[in-house]
Amino acid sequence: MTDDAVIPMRDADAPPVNQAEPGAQARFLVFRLENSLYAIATQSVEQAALPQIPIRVPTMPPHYLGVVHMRGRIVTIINLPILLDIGHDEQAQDERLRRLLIVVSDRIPMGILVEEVVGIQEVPLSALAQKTEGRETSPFFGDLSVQEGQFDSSRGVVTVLNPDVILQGLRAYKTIR
Amino acid sequence: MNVERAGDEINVVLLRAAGRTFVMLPDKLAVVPASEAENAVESIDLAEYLGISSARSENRMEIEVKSSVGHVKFRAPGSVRIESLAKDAFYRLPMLLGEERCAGWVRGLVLLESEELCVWIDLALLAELDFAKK
Repeated sequence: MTDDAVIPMRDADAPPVNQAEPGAQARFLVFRLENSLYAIATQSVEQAALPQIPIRVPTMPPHYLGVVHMRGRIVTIINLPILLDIGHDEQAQDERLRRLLIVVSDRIPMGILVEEVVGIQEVPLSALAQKTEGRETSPFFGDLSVQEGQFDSSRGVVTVLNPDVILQGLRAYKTIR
Repeated sequence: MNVERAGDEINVVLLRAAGRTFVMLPDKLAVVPASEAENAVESIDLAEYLGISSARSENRMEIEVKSSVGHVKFRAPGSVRIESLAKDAFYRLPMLLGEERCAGWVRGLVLLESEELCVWIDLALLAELDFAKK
């Protein structure tokens, strides 16, 4: 991964992970968040850009960090640690490594601030372990599985996230005021 | 306040407070320094609604709004100025922050010429909601 400000990386023609043929490989963008490794299929990642400070919108629920303006449109930045119900690590992170991922589901862009983009990894789908250990307790996802599986990388176990489920969870979670 | 619109431009009031800018349409607003404002009328703390905290040294003012519940005053830190913006600088809230997730008085977003993204607020509607809450 280079330090380019904007890295286009969407494979628009690649089939979704869950529709790929047996034996096929999938490409994942691997990133670090709260000192854990996560991945999202590259076909759902539009770009990885240098981070912008999100503008907070009054009365916005805490599972959003705010909005940014990118390429003529407004992108909502989601608070993925809250959505995944993972703790926030107060340790200072290296600001130079931080990136803003633009992930698209159902043509809706969602921004995710990550601590570091580790790189792109190609993984045989058969290597995706379905084991997911007890992290799916977040009220946002209900019975939906936001974790598609896990695979090993040189830096540790990587959990694959499903952006469609993230979007479904956000749409379903109503905040009553 | 006068709302003159020229072509595709519209006059707006920019409230600059706590390092952020908020945009309001001026047609129902009057802005006076806090020192000149009448103290008898109860006023609403706008900073609390906007989720900002201002420095003690920051200017304070009152913004009077004509709403369906009468004239309502908002206390606000910072300073205001009037600016003319192109209509295409206005954006609706993104779908994820739409009507079910943000209050109705948060109307949308505005991109200033300086590329600063600002929140567009409707104080008349906020006055009505605040009145209904009491």
